[in-house]
Amino acid sequence: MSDMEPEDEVRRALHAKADALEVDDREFDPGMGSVVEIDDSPRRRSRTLWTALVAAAVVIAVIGVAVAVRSPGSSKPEGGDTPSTIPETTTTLGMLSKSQPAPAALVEQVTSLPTDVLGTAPATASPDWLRPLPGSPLLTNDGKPRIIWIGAEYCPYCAAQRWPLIIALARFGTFSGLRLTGSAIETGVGSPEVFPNTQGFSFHGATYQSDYIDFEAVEQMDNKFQPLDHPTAEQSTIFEKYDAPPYVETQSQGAIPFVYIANELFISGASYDAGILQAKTAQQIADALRDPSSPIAKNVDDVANLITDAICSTVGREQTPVCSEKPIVPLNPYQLKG
Amino acid sequence: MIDRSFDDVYRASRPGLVRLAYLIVGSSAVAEELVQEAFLRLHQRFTEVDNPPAYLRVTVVRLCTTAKRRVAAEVERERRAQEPLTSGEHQIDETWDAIQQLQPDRRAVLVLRFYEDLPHDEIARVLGCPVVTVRTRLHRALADLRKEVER
Repeated sequence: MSDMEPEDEVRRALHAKADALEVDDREFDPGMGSVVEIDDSPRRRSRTLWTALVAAAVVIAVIGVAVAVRSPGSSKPEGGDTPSTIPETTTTLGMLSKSQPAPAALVEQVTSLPTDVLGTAPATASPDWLRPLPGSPLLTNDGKPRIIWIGAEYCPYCAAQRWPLIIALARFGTFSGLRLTGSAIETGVGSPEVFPNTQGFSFHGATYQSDYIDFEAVEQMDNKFQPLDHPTAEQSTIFEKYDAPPYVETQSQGAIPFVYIANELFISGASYDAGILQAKTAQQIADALRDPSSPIAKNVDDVANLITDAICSTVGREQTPVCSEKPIVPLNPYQLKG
Repeated sequence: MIDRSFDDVYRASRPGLVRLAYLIVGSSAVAEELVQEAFLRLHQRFTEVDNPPAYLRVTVVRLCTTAKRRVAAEVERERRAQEPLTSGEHQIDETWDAIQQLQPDRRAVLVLRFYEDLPHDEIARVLGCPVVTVRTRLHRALADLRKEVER
């Protein structure tokens, strides 16, 4: 570049090019659509925004984790100020409202699924979405394996994936402060989402307490694409390393949701078809989880069992009662370090 | 029949938006199409949008950063068709060519910062990302630019 400051050169070039461009004064024609292909699918957008966000976090080392339980007894009692009815997350205009506290009864319903119900879910022998990291040392905090969630409230795949994850984590500990939300109705550029307003929980502002594992959650944006949580530098490094080739396919690089299980396994993307939750309220989904004949139970409960089993492979099966319960023992497709 | 106030917004905003889009995508033809797409989206919900110019800017910038690769061919075609600038403006062309080599999201940050003169927090709002991301993209864009020019 010349002796000018780079910023000045950029400014000068941009203004010169803009000034030189002649723009006609045509009338608006609502019948004339654009023929330019635009890749603004939710998964693609999630990847783009997230990759930039974690890169920024590496540099800035922002600390802001939504859920990171470090010491027993730090959580608030369940349902202290939660409403008795399920709040509406969609207005009559179809615009999403912000997340709201989840009713205690709903949280209880989801986090206390009986093992006989979970045991009826069909067992997937070797799911391709659960990706082992053999030979890696366990990532722990105070001796407890660390589970890391990276997602966003606008993302329908994240909304879907939180259901089985919460069921699995609830077997090892207790959540407080979970909130209900719906994924975005439109992408950031105004086109319809593939699975709009998918109902579910958010980890933003929630806490988790467990004697066995440590859970850290980052919800990067709300359902209106406003920033929520920032990852730590370490979380960003993990995400950038494992949610990228050779660990995932090139087209899935940086996809969310991302669930990292103590350097033992990880999950990139949703583990089942998020479309089965469409047009369902959170209560309807919670009810369906207890109906073995419903597609929701078959998918969500199965994924929950497999995530539970994956966690069991990190905590030591003998010392953890849930890992000996049905249906965890019969499934057990990995047998990694348990 | 098109709402009168929509028409006003269209006439007042379109030239600036086409220039903004052009600076990001590097092709006037593609820029016009993306701006048309943004106005179509505004037209469908005009009564619901509080601030049409802000909505349009956000939509245009995001469309520019997500337009698929085939845009590249059009950009290259236009670049070849352009008359070379005079020797005194050679530096401008060199910088412009280097800007066109940047990734779309970094190009967008440069344009919003140095053409639109937006502060970092406003750029973050337009792009739908945290302010730290804007700073990082800006830093990397300028670093990439230096490498590109020195190449």
